[in-house]
Amino acid sequence: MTEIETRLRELAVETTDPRGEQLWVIPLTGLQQIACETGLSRREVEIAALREHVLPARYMRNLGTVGWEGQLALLQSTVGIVGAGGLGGWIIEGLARMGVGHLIIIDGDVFEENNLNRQALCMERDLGRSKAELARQRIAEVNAAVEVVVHQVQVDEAQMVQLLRGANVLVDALDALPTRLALQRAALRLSVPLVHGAIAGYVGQVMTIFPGDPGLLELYGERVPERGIEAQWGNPAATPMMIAAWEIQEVVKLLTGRGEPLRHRLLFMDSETGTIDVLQV
Amino acid sequence: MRVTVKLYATLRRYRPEIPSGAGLSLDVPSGTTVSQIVEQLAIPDGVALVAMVNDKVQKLDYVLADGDTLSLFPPVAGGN
Repeated sequence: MTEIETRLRELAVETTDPRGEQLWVIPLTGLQQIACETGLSRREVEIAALREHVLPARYMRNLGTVGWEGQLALLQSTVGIVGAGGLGGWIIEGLARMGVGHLIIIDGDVFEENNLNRQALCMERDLGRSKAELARQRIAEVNAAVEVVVHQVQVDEAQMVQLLRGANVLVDALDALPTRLALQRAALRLSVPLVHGAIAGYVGQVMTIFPGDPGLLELYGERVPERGIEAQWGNPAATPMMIAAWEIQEVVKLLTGRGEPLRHRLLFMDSETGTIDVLQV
Repeated sequence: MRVTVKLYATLRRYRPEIPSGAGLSLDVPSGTTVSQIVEQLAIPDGVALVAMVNDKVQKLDYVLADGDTLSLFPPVAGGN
C-alpha cells in the first residue's frame, strides 16, 4: 500500500449512505491534510480517494445520479464557460459544486449595478471588478479542488479556439447571437459538444450541439439579429437560474455519459404561461 | 386547407385572443407559405421569429400542407 492509500484509509470513516449501503467517506479536513502532507493538489487527492473507493464526503449527494465512475470523470474533465454573468455565474457555481476538475472561464466585463438583480457572482462590494476574477474567487470558496483558468478578455472565434483548447465540453453563457455562432464554430473546430442556453424575460431555451450539428445555424441562419427579445423584456432573477440549471445538467450528462442530452432538440421554456416545448432541430 | 398556428412568448401579443398553449385554426388556400401566415396574423414586418412546422425548423418560404401545425417563436439571445 502506498503512503497515500494508507493515509486515505486512516482518515476515512465508514458510514451508511441514504440507501442503507456501507461506504468509506473522507471529510474535507482529511483531504486537506493529505494534500498538505503529499504536496498533491486537492483535485489529485480526491481522484486518488475515488480510485480507492473512498468518497470525498462533499460528493455524497452526487453519488446517486453520477456514481463513482461519473464523479471520477467529472474531476478529470475540463469545461470551458464563455460568459460569467447571468447564466455563467450560476453555471460556474453548479459545476464547481458537482466537482468538475478544471474550469476555463472567459469574460471581459466588470460588474455593474444593474447586474445585482440576477448575477450569482455579483455582490454590492464587487461593482467595477472583473467578473472572471470574481468567478475564480467564488470557486475557491465553493470547491478548492477545482482548478481554474480565467481570461478577462472579449474573444472572437480564433481566440475562443486558442483559449478553450483542452476543454471536453463548452458552455454558452453569452448574451448576443453573433458571438454564439462564433462559439458554435469554435466548438466545431475543437471537436467538442457545446451546451447552448439563452434567456429573455420569462423565456429561455437550451440545446446541446455536437460538432457538425446544425444547431444555432438551423434556428437563425447566417444572418442573425444581434439581440433577441431580451432587449425589451429584460432579465429577472429566476430565468437565468432556470436555464443555467438545465445547462449544468447537460454538461454533467455529457461528462458522465449518463442520460440523454438535448441533442437535435431545443427545449423552449415560457415560465409566464408555465409551458415547456421540446422541438426538433 | 386547414393549418394550426401557435404563437409563443412575446409573439402572443399580436393575437392575444388565442389562449396560451392552444392553437388558432386557419383555413388557407393550398400553397400558402409561412410568411403569408405571418402576414395574415398582422405580425409587423421586421419582427424576428423562428418558424417550426410540426416541430421542425423551416424557412419563411416553406409551403404548408393541410393539417400542418406552425409554431412561431421569438429569437432569445440574452444570457448576461
